[in-house]
Amino acid sequence: MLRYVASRLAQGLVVVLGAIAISFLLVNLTGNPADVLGGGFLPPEARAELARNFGYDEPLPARLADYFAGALRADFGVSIRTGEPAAGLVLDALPNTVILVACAMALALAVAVPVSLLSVLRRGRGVDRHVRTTLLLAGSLPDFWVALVLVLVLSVQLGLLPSVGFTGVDSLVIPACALALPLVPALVRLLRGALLDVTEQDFVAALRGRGFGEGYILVRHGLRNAMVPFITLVAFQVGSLIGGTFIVEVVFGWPGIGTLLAGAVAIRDVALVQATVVIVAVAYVLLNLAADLLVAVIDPRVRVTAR
Amino acid sequence: MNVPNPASRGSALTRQQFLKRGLAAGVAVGPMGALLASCGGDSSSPDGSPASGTDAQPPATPTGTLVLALPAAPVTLDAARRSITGDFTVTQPMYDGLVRWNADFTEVEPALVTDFTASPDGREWTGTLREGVTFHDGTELDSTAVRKALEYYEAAEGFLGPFFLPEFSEIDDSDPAVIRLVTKDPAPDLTNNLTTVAIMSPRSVAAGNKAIERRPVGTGAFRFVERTSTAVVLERNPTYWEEGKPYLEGVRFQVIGDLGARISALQTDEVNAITLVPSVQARQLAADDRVELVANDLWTVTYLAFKLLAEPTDELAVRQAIAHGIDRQAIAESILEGQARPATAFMPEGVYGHQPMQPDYAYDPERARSLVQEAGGGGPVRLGLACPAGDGAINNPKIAQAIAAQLGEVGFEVRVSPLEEGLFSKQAGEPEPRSQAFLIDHPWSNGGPFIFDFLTFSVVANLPEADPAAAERAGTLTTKMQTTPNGDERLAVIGDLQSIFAEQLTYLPLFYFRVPDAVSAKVRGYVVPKDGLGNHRLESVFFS
Repeated sequence: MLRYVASRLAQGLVVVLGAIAISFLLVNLTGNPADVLGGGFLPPEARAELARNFGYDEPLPARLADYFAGALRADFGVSIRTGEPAAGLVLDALPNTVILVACAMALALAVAVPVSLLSVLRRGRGVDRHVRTTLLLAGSLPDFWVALVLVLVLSVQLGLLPSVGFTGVDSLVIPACALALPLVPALVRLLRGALLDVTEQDFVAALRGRGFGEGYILVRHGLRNAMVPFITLVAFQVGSLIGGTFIVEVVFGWPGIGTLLAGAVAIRDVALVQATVVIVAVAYVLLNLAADLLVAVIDPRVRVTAR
Repeated sequence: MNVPNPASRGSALTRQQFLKRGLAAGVAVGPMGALLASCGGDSSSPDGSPASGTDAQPPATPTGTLVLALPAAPVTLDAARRSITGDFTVTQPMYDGLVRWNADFTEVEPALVTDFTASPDGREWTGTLREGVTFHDGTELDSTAVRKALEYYEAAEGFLGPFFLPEFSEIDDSDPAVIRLVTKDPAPDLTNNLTTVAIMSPRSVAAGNKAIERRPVGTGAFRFVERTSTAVVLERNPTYWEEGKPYLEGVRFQVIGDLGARISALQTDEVNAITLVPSVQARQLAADDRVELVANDLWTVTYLAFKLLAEPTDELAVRQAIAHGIDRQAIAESILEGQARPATAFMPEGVYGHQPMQPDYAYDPERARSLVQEAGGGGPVRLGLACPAGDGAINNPKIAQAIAAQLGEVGFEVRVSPLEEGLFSKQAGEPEPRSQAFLIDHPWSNGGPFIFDFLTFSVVANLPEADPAAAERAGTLTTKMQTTPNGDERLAVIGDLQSIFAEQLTYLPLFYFRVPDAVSAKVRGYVVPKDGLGNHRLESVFFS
């Protein structure tokens, strides 16, 4: 198990190093950031002065080396907006995003698991067909559109919930719903497929032969067997959400890393952009590692295969 | 109180000084321009009155916290480094200047001075400081505090702040109650410019920019409480020098990046005011009893800037054809829904120095067509037209598309490039970018001839490289304009200067705007500032 963990950690480290390099190169691919920071109304000599002030006059390899050295100490430089360390700003905003993502995922799971079970129990019947059609529709709805419609109905028309900011638990409802709704179809599709596979297994036939009901078999045995791919997908979705709540956060004025990143990109706050990308990458790696370990605990075959 | 008549500008800037100082000013104008362009483009049919609830009596006690939604977080809380509109909106309530615009932006009135007089040659300015004023950190206002704040502004090289100051030969603080400013050259615009210069606490300027970003300290009606990624929170300054003001307990600037979400939040009463409402949404809000639209004629002009070193706009005939081929009236009426007016001069109406432009480049498609045929040898002339895009510039792509369609009728083949604001600024700064024409906005933020705007007409278009003689004449006239007292001679200089840019067509003025903000119906005393910087006077706002 220890070797398995070490191997996963090593892979995660490669991903993080890649994220550090890619975030740096992508920012610099757009040209000297000073060109953008200086605006379009300045002549070349003034832009060069700004580049010197921000330290962009050094050769690219030297800056990359500095950046790597700093990033490994979690030092990404300071935000040009506030003058505070960029990593600190991202870590301050991260809990708000995590809360939002956790609520969205909990909501999505609370819908996806019973719906998947129902769909498998009633497979081929009207309920199953309706579920699949509805999910296809739900999966095609963009989260920002869902967000705006929910705001118009629940906030503007009915006045039930707040439409912006993070002022309490009720502030979570609409953004969490907006993020959860597009997640449900993917989760149901995967879980339904995995459960259907399980129902074809010999041990399920044996359980049926012993007189156990279909519902009992699915809940007691089917879910556990379907968990391996499902946990992997959930971890993948959570990781994507942490870096992908951008639009929903902007729409709701949510004080998370999506809003932080939007503001940073708008004013070319390079240190903040890079810190956000790398910290999200680290979170993504850790989540996947946690999922891998959980899967290995649930299914010992995974550990054996990994060796 | 004696405040000299609003007029011109501070000391002369050499081009070199301009280049050095221009760093963040450029940063400023890019996003600010885009934002204003958007607004401009937006405001539509529901006109909006200049102020909300003007008939209401101010309350005896403070009336709650105003939540004002902004499309983007401010870049800085340091007054000397302010660049985009949001910076001014958020910081203005915390700071005072020596003088300020009155509520309807027609006259400069005293703020931290009780009088401000100029010597006959316009070089020596003396102001008596208001007694009993203290900064939020408890420091008393005196002439040394003013000197230090002005010196801090001067040192903010590369930012917009120094453009508002003339070159001082002396800042005399020998008498704590009197500030005496001696300028190297006559500075007829000093009072106008000082309306945007905030006097910051001497302790905070001594601590430097990072300390100011953490805790800005002024003498303004509201004190800083906190700043997060989505909000800046201010509270009432109980020792504010204006008796009875402010009428609010506090102000919260809430960042909501999406326009639809800002409008929803206004309708649900989670925010009390939103800025820069586009025309379509303004029409929608005009029908909502819970909301009032407030609008003003802004000192902001949208221009089409040409690149004089790039084909095809390196040919004057092509630029003239473009100018004659655009029907500004039609765009103002149909695309901007009547809330923009065709520009007739480089400077907007209401700004000192405004005078009709000659030649006026009236819409003349026949003339445009013949000029294009001349330039294109019978074939179409290809043109790249760039404009800022995004939530802050929602109408610019529409304006650009309308221009492209109109120019297509007279023989151009126009490729429109809506660009993210940073990229737009970057390309506008290149001598030979992919596009050759740029939709750009400038706010004449001091209510008079603003040196930064005049210099950009030359620099952005690359006039010095394309026509050194014309650039030199423009430079000479700009210097003369800065130091000539208001009157016929100065107006003639401004007219000559305008004629150079009009004849060379480095920039083509397109529109003046009247942009609405939307406020809850219970909000009183809210005025849209004309300066294009978003310097709201929130100390006069209250809830009914």
